Amino acid sequence: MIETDLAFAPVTELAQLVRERKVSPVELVRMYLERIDRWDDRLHAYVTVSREAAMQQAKEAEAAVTRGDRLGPLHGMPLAVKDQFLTEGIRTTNGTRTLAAFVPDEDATAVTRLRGAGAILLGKLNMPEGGLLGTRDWPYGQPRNPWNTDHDAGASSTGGGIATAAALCAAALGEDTGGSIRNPASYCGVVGIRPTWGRVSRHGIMPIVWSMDTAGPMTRTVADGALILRTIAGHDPKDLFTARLPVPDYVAALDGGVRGLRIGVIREFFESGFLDRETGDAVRAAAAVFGSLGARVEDVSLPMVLLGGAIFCAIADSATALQHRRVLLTEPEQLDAGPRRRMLAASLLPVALYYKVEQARNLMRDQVRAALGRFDLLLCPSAPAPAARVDRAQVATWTAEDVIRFWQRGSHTSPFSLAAVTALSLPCGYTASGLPIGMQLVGRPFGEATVLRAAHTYEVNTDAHTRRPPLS
Amino acid sequence: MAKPLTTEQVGTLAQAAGLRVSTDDLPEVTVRVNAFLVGLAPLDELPLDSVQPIPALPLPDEA
Repeated sequence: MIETDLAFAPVTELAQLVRERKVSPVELVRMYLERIDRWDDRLHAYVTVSREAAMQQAKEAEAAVTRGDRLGPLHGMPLAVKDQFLTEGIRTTNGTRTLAAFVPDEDATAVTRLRGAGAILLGKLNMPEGGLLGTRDWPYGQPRNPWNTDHDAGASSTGGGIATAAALCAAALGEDTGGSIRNPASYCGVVGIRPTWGRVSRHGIMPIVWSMDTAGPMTRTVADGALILRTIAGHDPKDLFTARLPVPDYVAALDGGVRGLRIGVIREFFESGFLDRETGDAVRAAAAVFGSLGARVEDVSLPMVLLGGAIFCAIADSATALQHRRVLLTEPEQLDAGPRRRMLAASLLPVALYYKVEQARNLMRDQVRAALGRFDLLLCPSAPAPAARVDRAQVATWTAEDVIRFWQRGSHTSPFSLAAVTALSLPCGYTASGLPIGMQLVGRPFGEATVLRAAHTYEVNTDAHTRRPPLS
Repeated sequence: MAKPLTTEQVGTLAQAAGLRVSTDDLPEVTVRVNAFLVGLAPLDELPLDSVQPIPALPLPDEA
């Protein structure tokens, strides 16, 4: 296998090659470090590369293979983690300048579980300041989309989308509050899974919104996502809000097809007036593929979904303002203008309006869950359009139109965060200019196995996931 | 619908809340506050009277 093919190979394949001693963890880590050296000055996927520690772990992993030790499912896999997760001995900035020198003394639970399964940590991945989209001057470098570096890469698990798409790691761990895994997955042409809130521990994740934050995989195939989710999911005594439900074997559940599944295509997104034509066509074509594979596909109406962006931002901006209150009050200039202005505005909202927003969230949850009572899955675009140009987000002062456009984008993912269900983004096509298009499959609470099965069925019957970014 | 808030009014609100809003930030903060007030106005049309403001439902094994 030539080295580029090896770099882009799925984790499931790489792990098998390691177990069969056809490739060593040291070779894999060296290969990804060389790719980071070659591409990351331009892409800015990483905040910190833990070069020496990764090589040391790779040597230990190789020794374990040589000894014939029992190997974990991710043994020797070089993964990278969003800089929102605490990592013992590796600085964790949360995308902010104020934490530039913060080195935690423990791992987040999800990171502990990845390490326990044999993963090697290559480094920490770039994200907007405090996880809030709209950052203008990125403290750790302006991230760029590997499919076209004039375009942005989505947010807030930005580095996860870039590093996975450009094969600067085997796979990544992201965090999704209102769409932070699904949006960059969509823009970068990879698979991103938002598990049900409560499926994966939040312990050691720098908080954005306590009732919506969740960790999830960003991968090049659905099977890789299933493997990583199986590793990180499950109850954690350190997080009271993790479910005690047993974790299904998501990998074993991938096969079985979609025959008989009822899939509802959410009508409002196609009638919004702001859906990009190529995106709409690609998602409709994907719906037709599901139909051809035996699913029963029909339109469904969720009248509140287009309010999702504004409702979500009222909650998230208020919560983040509280998380960063000390800095906001004492040295606001330490924060980038975009997140700072979001937090300041949210701090001025009437409390009665916030109460109403929480009521609306509950109504949204009822609508989404009622639809999921009639359908096994919901289907919609992951974003209204492919990745915008980087310079579009860098204007000095946003207008009302900029804010509304931003909320429109958020309305494609945040309703399912507000509803506390599971959702997955996967590539379903490309624009004429070569940018990826993502579709979103939404499942019932703790219905990840069904979502993954449908996504896997689509993936193995189509070829959108086989393209690689034109890095040169 | 009420008139949009002016930068002066938003600056006064911020001062009352103990927040320092720079002159550079004030125009966009004003835009954002007004966008929230307009963007969330449709919530008034929703049947919210009997809806409880619950951020998270009990997890299934705890219900």
